[in-house]
Amino acid sequence: MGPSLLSVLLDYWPIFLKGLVGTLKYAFIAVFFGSLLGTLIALLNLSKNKILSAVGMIYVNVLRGTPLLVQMYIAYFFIPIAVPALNSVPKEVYVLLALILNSSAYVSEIIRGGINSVDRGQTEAARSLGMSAKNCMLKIVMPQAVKNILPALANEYIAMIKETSLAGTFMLYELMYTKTILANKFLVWQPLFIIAGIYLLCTLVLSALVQYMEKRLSVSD
Amino acid sequence: MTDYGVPIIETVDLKKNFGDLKVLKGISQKIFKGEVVSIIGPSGGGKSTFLRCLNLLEVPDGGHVYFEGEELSSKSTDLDLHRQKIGMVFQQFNVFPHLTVIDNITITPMLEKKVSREEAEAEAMKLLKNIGLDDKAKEYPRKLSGGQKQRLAIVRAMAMHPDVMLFDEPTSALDPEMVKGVLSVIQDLAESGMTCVIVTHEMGFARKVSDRVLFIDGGVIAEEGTPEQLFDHPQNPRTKEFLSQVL
Repeated sequence: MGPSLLSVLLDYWPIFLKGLVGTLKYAFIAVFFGSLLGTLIALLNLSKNKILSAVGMIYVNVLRGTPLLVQMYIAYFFIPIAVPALNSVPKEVYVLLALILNSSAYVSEIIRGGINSVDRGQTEAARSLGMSAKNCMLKIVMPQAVKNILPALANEYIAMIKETSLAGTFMLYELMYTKTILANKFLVWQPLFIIAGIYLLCTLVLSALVQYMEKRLSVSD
Repeated sequence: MTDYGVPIIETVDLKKNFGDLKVLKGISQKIFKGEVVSIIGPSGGGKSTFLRCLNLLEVPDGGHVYFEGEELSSKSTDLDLHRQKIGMVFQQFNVFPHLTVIDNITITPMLEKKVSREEAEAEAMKLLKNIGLDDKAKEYPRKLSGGQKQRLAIVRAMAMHPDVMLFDEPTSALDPEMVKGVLSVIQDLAESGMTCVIVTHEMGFARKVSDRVLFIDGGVIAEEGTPEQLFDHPQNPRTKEFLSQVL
């Protein structure tokens, strides 16, 4: 069996901590930039222009309809081949790019749902006052949509914490990668349980925070 | 007083379909400055759709809408600019829940007309005072009753200094005890000379405030006239039947 879980954790906690920091960091980068990009995609999807909304729809369907791992492999191996000029870019960036694009597809659906959840009467009232489409979106619809978007976005972050485990496959230093490091020290099963425990702790704590946030946000209704 | 110069709103052969359903089958109508026009008729007859076509919340499928002589549905028309002069009040109030009462009123003048905050708030307070809501200026709309929300919606539209006000069943979503307060605000507005187009089920109110009443049924104006003509001496059998059911 080898050493116990506790002794492995006590001996190698800096490695796990560094992995956890990596996981939280990569998940944040993915959701943050995914949100920026996802907002644009959501606006494409909501556009009355049929071509723009079709582009948005295809984007979302392709990225949600194919496994993230496949997207990472394509980004990791294909981009450097397709664009040799990018050879000096660290390959880590491509894996992150796949995470961001993947997240943007999910976030765009969250934002689209949030915007659609705002009563149509709000838009009608604003536009009937002579408010421009842009101001109506920024000052009337978005502030009301945010209330529905924020908790869902936080849930996306929680999901992304788990998704980033795939990045370890490409040597990105995150939680899952610690198993590769410790395998060199002939520790096979202990790191897996410790990693699972850390993931579980993260998602449970964050889920509780989201629930608290949802409660707070609904108070103002 | 009604000014029979250039109509403030004119529709020519206005048509609107929802899918296969022909909701408006060609309505031509002129509304003049200072006129108070009520629109009555059975549900599903096209009253609200007609009203919503007047500021292009519904885009007509045929015909024309002119506002102060300019065609609204023309691509070259700045619709936002024209809508600033066409106030609209909705059945469901549609006040902005994330803004305070006073911000509900000031946001559009400040954003679209570049009115200074001081000026916009001074005017908003004056408007709120008129409807007895000045003590609620800093509250959020969720603290207001339905009647108060609707009065807020009316002065929110007034703050844009419109040339005409459209009312889409403004009291239909209200508790009965709230109706009177809202109607009296509309009546004050009508008596001050504001051009009003009012879709309503309040027949007594329509008779009292209107210069002219339109009976819309089956997507056409089936009958129109002064309140006396329409309510006391209806000619069209459909008008008679409708009135016998609601009066």
